[in-house]
Amino acid sequence: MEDALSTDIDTAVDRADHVETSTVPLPGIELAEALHHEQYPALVRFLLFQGASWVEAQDAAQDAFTQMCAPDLSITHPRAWLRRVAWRSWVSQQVKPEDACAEMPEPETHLRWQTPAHAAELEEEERRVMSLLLQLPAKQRAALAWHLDGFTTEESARAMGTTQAAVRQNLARARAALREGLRLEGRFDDERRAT
Amino acid sequence: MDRDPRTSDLDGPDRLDALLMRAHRRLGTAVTDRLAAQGGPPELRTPDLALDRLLAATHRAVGAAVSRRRSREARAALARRDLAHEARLAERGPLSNRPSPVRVKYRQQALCLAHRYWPADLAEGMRVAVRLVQNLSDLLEDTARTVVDAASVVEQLREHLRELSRMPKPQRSPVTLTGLDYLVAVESALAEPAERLLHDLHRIRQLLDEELAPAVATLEPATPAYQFGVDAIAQDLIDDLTQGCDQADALAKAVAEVERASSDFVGADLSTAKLDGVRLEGILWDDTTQWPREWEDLIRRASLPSGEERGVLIVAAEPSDTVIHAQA
Repeated sequence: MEDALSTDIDTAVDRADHVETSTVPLPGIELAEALHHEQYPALVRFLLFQGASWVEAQDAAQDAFTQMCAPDLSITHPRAWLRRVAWRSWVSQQVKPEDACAEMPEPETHLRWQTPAHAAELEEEERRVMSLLLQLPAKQRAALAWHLDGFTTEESARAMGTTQAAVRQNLARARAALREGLRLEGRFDDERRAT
Repeated sequence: MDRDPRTSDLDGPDRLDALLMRAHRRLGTAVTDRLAAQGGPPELRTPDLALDRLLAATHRAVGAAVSRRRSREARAALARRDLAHEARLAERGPLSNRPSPVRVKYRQQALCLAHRYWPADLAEGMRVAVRLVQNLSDLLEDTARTVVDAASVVEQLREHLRELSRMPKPQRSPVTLTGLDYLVAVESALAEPAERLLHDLHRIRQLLDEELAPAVATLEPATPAYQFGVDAIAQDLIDDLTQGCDQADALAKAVAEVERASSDFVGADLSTAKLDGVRLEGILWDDTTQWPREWEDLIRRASLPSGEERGVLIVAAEPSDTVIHAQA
């Protein structure tokens, strides 16, 4: 399972490339069966990175696979498709019936211990990264999540319905904010190196 | 700490990447572990399965919500009812503590007894008697009025008192073996105040016949009545009658209690009562009253809101025993 989850951006990009390079649309139900075991945890992580709670992320991932099973559905880029649909499902969980006509809300991030982002498995520094990440605007979080899951800017731009330039800009801003937050270029960094 | 030694030596941007990647990887591990702990990723749900689950879950949730709400409402209603019920219980006398099937069984006899002891409004009758004597006193002060008037008032009073005394001699029924019979209890509840009232009436009539009437008879026109002591006797009579009024009120209370015990079945369990041949008209009940199953519908149809208290019904007309078949 560790292999299924990207461990390294370079290899992840490679794999995403060759998985998603299949240009032949395949029936959704077949893809769902093939990808379920591997992509379910990846989807959960993808949503957790964007600030979903543990329960919300699982619901949305489940929902995305269910939608993938719809008859007469053919998908060319199943991983991107799953992420897009799961993200949409998670966002629509946040929409209350009374504001159904409102704009897509900025998903609420959950800084609760029920998210593995704050779980004991993570080290202090990683938790810090996660909590800074969850304070970023939704678009920057999304860009980072797509990037870390190994998608190219082109793929994530297509999936998010924006331009590559916008994705790149969001990524750059996210990185700048994180660097600032983690003081990677400041005193903190110097101290660390001094020790 | 399995920090990659490469990354800690790198500067800004690369370190950030390394950190992010590590967080990404660790989170992946954490997610996988937690899912494995839950028993792996949940089964793949096709839309059909998902719909089934959704329907079942919704059904369950609605059921739970409905029963929660119902129990909340029932609790609130119960709390309200308890207050009303306690007030009602406080009004009830000892007769009402007898089992409701017994009360309903002997309902008719008990009501007959009450009627026998209370054929007319005795309390009002006593007050009428008091007013008659007061009239007489007024009459006696006015010497110009004829003696005949006074004599006729005495006659009228005598007649009135005789009417009032026409009560059954309390039939202390031959004490039954147990002495705890419901009807015996009803009778004794009525008989005690009735006896006292009769006793008072007897004394009053004696006073009337043996003192007031002779005194009035000796009255002479144009002579002040006080010379004959008539006004003093009349005052005695008024005092006695006033005391008799209290006895009549006590009897009225006893009668009311018997009526209440025979008619108030709010909250009573009559499910085992034998209702055949019992007159049900006038019974008060509400939805906490339990009727025998075969009677419930009949009684519900024959009942009207009592107007006395919210939710209390009164059986208005005797429900018919015979059910007309739809195909007849």
